[in-house]
Amino acid sequence: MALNPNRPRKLPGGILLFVLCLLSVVLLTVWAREPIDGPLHRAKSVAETAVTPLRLVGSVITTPISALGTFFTNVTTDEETVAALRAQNEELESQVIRMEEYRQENERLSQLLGLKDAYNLETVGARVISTSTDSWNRTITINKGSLAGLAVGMPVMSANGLIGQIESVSPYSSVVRLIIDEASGVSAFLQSSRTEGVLSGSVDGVLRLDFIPLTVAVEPGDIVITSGAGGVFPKGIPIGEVATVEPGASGVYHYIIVKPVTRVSAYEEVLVLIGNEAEISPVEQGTAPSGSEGAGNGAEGSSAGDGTDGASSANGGTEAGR
Amino acid sequence: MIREPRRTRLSFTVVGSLLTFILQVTVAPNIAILDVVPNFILGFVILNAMFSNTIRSSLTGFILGLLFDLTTQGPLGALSFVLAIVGYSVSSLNKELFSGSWQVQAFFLLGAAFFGELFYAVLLSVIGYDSDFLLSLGMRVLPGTLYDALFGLIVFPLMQRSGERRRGKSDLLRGKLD
Repeated sequence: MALNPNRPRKLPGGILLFVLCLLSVVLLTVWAREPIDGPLHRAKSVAETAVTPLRLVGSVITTPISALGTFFTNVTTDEETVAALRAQNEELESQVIRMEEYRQENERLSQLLGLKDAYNLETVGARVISTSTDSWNRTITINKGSLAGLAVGMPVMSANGLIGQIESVSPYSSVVRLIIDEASGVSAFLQSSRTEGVLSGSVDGVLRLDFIPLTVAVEPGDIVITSGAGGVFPKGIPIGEVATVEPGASGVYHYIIVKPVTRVSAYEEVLVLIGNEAEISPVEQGTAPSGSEGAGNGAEGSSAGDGTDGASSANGGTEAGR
Repeated sequence: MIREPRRTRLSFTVVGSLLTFILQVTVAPNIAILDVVPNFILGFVILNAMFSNTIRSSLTGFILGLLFDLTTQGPLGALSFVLAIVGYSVSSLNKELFSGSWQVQAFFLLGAAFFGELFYAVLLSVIGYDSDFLLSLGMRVLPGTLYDALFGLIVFPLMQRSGERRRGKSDLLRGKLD
């Protein structure tokens, strides 16, 4: 059979597939090896900026659907749950009054001792505009980026406690990896015993507190807060409470599941701590006497949660000095 | 001789890809069930491959996968690799397969979606991005497959009808000219 020289030569699908696969592998390799400000990471940042308006539109469009879901959840709430919530509310009200007393006392003592606030952290309020677009990452996108002073690695918290850390920043938005993501790890300790461990997320979204020895007494309901080790997260931010405790398979450590204090969804406000680490570390390491730390009032202080737009101050730190 | 309008088919792929990407960014995160987000892009790549040749299918898969990789926190190049292969594989299959009963079509969609999700999970495990493959299989791959296939089952009849209408118009034109 003679070949027709005038017929245009077509690229066989197999060759194209090979080229595309090769290109993907090259991209994968370069992306993994390049620094965080490399060209592919910058391209991702540009793409992130480009889709930010789309994410905003998506949030607005699907708000009624989400609200409908919340409505049905509320409608189906039984009387027992309502009664339990009322009781909890009353208890919390009394706690707030007690805490206010402690706060005022703490302020007076701090003045007497000439202590200044341990962390004079600046925060930026931001709004969640989207959750993750895939099942493999537990992230949220917030509507503030590098133009608002945000940078990779900054801790992010809600009004109740820590929710994650900024993973990537574009001029107008940032992606926050949540603490429940399997790639997250936070140095934390139990408020009651001050024993330090590592809090990590998992595939199924469960928070685990590892490396707490069996010799330490742990009870469900114990509060877990950030330890400040590593210098990324300030000390004393509440993370959650112990949900279940079992002896671990290793026979050395507890197997502890932690219930996070907060879950974020679209359209909620969060606070990004933008204060620099240099301000935190010396105070933490230099003035915190070991074994003399208080009951973690700094945790309450850091969750002030004045989540307004623009810069505000979250005074998180009477703890390190006591 | 009048051939099936190639421009229409191309515009269908382009417009479909664009709409799917917009859906993925705007709607998918907000309809996640138990943290399982539907992958409309995988669904569209499978459907498009059922109606297109291998070149267009693998190219569509690669481009959409790359767009997805650029806008998520996953490794860049992973989904483009998977979708290029998924698009090529589905398109290489005998097209007669797709004209069977709806049960056959549903079974095929489910199988293709599972292949895509599983392939992505294996790739992420191999490159060290996923720490617990078995848990991911249960928590992400299987529910994700069902979600993607559901999307495919909704869109497939529309695409089939649109294809028949185009063929009908071509036959009509051919008849007039003959």
